Amino acid sequence: MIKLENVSKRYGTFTAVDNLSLTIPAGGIFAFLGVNGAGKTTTIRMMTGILRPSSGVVSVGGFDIVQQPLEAKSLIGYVPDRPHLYSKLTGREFLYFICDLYRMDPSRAERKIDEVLEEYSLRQWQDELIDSYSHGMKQRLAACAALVHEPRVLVFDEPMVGLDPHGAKHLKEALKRYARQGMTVFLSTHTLNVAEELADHLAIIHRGSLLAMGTLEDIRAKTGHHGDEDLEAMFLELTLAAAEH
Amino acid sequence: MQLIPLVLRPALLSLKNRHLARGARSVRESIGLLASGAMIVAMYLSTHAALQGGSSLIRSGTLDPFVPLSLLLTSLFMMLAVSAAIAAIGSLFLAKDLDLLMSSPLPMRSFLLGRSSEVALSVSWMVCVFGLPSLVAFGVFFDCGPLFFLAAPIVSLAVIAVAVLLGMLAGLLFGVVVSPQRGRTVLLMLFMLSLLLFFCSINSSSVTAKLDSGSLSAQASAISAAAHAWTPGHAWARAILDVSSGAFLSPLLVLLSACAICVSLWHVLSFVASRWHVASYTRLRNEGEILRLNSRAGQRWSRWLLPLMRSDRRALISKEFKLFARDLTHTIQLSMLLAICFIYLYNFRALEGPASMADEVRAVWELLLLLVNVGLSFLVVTCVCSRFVFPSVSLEGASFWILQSAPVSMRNILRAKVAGWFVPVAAISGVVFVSGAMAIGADEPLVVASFAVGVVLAYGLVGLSVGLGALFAQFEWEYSNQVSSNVGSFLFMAISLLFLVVNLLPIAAFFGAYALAPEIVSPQWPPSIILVAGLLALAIINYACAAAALSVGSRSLKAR
Repeated sequence: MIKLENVSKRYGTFTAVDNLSLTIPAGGIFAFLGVNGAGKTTTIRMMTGILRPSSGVVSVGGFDIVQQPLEAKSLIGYVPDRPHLYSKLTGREFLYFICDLYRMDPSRAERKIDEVLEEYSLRQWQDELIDSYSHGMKQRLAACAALVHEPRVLVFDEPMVGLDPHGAKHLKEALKRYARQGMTVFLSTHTLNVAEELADHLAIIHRGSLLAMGTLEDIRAKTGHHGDEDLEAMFLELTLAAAEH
Repeated sequence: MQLIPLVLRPALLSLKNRHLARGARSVRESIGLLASGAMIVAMYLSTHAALQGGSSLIRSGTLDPFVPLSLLLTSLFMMLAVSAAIAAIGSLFLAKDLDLLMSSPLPMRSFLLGRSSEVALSVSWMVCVFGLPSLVAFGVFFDCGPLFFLAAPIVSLAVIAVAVLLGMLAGLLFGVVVSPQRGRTVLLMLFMLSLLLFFCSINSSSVTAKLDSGSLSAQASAISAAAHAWTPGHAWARAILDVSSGAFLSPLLVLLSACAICVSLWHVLSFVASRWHVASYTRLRNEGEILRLNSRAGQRWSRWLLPLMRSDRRALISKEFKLFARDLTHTIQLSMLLAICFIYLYNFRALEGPASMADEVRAVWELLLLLVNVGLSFLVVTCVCSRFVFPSVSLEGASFWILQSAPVSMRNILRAKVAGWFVPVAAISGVVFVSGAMAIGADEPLVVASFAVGVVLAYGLVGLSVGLGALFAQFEWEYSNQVSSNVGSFLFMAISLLFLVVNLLPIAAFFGAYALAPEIVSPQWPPSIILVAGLLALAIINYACAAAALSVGSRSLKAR
């Protein structure tokens, strides 16, 4: 569903993402792990068409994000790590805006907006300015905006940041449900227990390069761990070794 | 570094870091700075040329040099004070770093000193571009000694400090007195009241008598009220002229008075801020939380108003206007600009040719006035565009990711901005152009043509503003007013002057052909054909300019 082929992103002499190749199958949850500054957000921004790669190809649903950006973007719902939204719109107005950008039929849009607002417990606040929302509420509204146009790919950058325990639990269940319904969920996180609990496939990057990719079992095999050793130990081992190298 | 106010340091450091960072943006900013330099030189040359042109009037005593200088300095003072007031509202009540500053153990005086310096820096470009070169041109023209070039800037700096502190106090008082919920209503009432007062004062018998007298100086002073003894430009101009003639008593008095006023204003500012700033800031935050709107009705209205438009374009336009209408600082700026339009139209009325003029002379005079009207109206519309349309791309701010990740091309986003802004700007432009043409008593076809010219130029200007706004987009800002005072905005003003010249040539050609010699151009066709053909040519020029600017802008946004 999502394919990155030898993708690099350079800012002057600094290389944020270095020759990264990933293949993410349709359906299921894919966790993208890395320490701070590993290049996770840069990769996500290239996948969603916000940044252009310096080299390499990113395709979503078979559409090249640089050559056919509109087709590729219409398949994606994106929730950034910092949900900067239009503060002078109400929550519902913002969702109308998103539905119109994705050219949804008005009656379908009304139905979907009610549905996502209900699901993320924002119905009560839908007519208030986003300015007055808390960080968690903004995060939930950004999730509503990503889901309202029924995307085939959901890209979530640090999904648990700013959510209270109820919100976090609800989101984890929702992500599992979306994956069961056939949506491809791509999440970037450094909350390892969330990745361990949710992900079908994982990738670990460090300084823009891929360290490991596959199921949890694949990564265990690669690091020489056996049994039910947790992801944290493997992650620390891989990233520390890469840092020393 | 220790001498720089603490609150100002982050702004200066980020400015330094941005300039040190390599990339296309620093190239664009360098081009902007070069253009600013060119503008300063042009301002110097044009002031000097204007003084040269009016030298015979000055020598014969018909025109007292005090009047144009006083006009210039009063305008500069007002621009500084108004801009400082708008910037002060942003920096004292709306800036993003206020939570951090309010929670730190920062004395109110340090906070105010930092904010005042920030506001002074943000409005200082007006002094550099308009004030400084004009002052130097004055000194050179009147052959003043080196003392002039030393004393005049010192006096000017003191008066500028008064303007900035006055603006700061006005901004602070506005935030303290006016509830942000009722801000728009109060502003509208203040605006109407000031127009009424202005109308009464300009219609007073003394002013009417001056307008009827033959002296150019008296007329100039009457129509602008700039030479009145109570205006700050009066004392400032008198001090500068006295320095140029070697007298230093009045400049010293002005300097001392300005310093005394500054100290008084500073104490009033500190007193008001220490008593009421925190309470006002808290109230502003609380009031935002209780605002509830009918979102469904807004959506129905936008579908009803723009029924045939594509949904993505309609969404972008309605979002633009919702955000605009809910931002208090935009309302303040809009009121100021409408006031400028009104003052311009009222003053322009005074230039109608006297009844005793011969017909041939009158025709040339009217044509000249018509072209002056086009030029000045264009500048008024440019001001509107530089404040509202040019910053519209940058005002997406940190939310720009929403548009970047949506399935809408950058070109369509910019086109939607043009479509959204064209209607209100064309309405303002049409009214200003037509009112100017009617005020000078132009023929009916020329009034209609002026309206069409206004609408066509509005399209070109809106396209240019959006395109250049995208090219110089600055998404990191503390409060919305910062965007309209950056280097790109300044470059936009410079380019729009060039755009005016490009448009004025064909307008002069077809207005001239229609008004002066229609039979030479097309003996067999009615003269109105000349106007229609000319308008078509103008429309093509403007469409091409707008399309080129949009293309450059969308490429620049895509490359980010």
